[in-house]
Amino acid sequence: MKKKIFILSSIMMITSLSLLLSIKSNKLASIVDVSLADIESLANPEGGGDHSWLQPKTVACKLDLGGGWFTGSVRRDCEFCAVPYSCTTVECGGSF
Amino acid sequence: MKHILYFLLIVTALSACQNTKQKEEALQKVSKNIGTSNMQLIKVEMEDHDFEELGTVLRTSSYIQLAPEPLLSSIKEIRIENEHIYVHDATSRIICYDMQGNVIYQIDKKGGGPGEYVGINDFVINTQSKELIIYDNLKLSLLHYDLADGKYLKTESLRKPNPSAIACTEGIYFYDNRHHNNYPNDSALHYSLLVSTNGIDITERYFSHNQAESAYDFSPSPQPFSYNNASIYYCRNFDNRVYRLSSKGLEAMYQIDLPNPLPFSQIENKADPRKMMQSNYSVGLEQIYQCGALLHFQFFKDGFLQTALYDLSKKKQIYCGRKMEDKTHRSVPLFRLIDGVYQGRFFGMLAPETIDYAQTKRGDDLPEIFRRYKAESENPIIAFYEIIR
Repeated sequence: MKKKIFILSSIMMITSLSLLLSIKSNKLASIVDVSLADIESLANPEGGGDHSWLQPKTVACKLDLGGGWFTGSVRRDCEFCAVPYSCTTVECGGSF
Repeated sequence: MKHILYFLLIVTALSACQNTKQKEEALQKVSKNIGTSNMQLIKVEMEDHDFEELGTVLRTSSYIQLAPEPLLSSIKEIRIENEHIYVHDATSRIICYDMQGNVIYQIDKKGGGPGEYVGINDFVINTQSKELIIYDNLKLSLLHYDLADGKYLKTESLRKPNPSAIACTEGIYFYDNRHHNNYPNDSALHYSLLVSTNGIDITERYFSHNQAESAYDFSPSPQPFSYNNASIYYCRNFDNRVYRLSSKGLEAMYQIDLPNPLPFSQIENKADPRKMMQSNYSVGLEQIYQCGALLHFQFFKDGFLQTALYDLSKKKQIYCGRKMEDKTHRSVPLFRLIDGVYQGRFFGMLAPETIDYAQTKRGDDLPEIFRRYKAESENPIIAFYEIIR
């Protein structure tokens, strides 16, 4: 009987511990997430302008050649990013 | 003692089951089933000649000349909804016109103060809340304006996601979320299409990111959403399947098999975007509009923009190539591109430079509206095209 009680208690202990660990890891994940959100909010350019953190994105575009003809080209857009980066926008067909 | 132990064991087991159930429920929220029963396969073949018989398919039914003031810069997007025209131009303004081309209001509030934006990444019209909503990707905010008069209402912070484009139908918001550079650890946002019922909280997710596409900073389709009257079509970056978005979920409408599609290895190897645009691979499927039995779409191949018209009733391609026009100029006096569909008609914007070119080349052959047009001081003309049955 004592042996049975010991085995059952052990199972309960292990289950409880694994549950506790799972909850803790979820909490840790949410703390990490909140920290990242804080970094992002720091990067949020309230006033905009030159202090914005931007990174270049290359996007396809159509360049009007006139007379109903178009060619495929690319332009450079600047999008928000979470780390400092410099970026200058370039119009469709421009060089960069 | 024995009974207590058994009781505790049952409670522990039940608690574990509950935890598993919650996880299953969370996973179910990821995405609803995507309907595929109505999906049509569109096989595309390239034609190496201009299509000069556009007048046998379409007929220009009316024009709207946009008021000359304010003078617009290059137009980024044009949308027509509920008898109103919304134009987003390159100077970060949205101008609302009536169907006679008169200005109703303009939203031109660039700045850092309340109700002002740094830039317009995209905008949506929420007909349910009667609001025009601007997404400012630099302020990471949604700015709400009254749809009737453009009056500023409120600003909501949208820290995550950072979408490339947004759309709204039936009051539901859809975010095109191509990359997750700003939230690498938030795996719940590592999906290409995110859905929100209130604009802030994500309720559904579709198309899990693949590493190669997320790591490749090139977007061959600048606008993944195509407005088809009340319906919105969505085509993911580098994809060829077109989905209709609604509050009930996604429905696959078309699979457009383009000639010589881009191999995945080009994405994995992060091919030079300029070279890709000049290559003989087909990329950047967009501007997908259905009007009656006609389907329009465009993409890039061989360095050129390729436009296509497909007859859905006959399951037959009408044309796919570099240029469409009506050589006789009778049915369609002037044509540039198709920019949307509204109330059973395609519409397209005729830019000042297009009209100026036509004036130089054709002079008196043009209709009156183009002959008296002054390209240097006037805004674009919108042409509406009805289908010849």
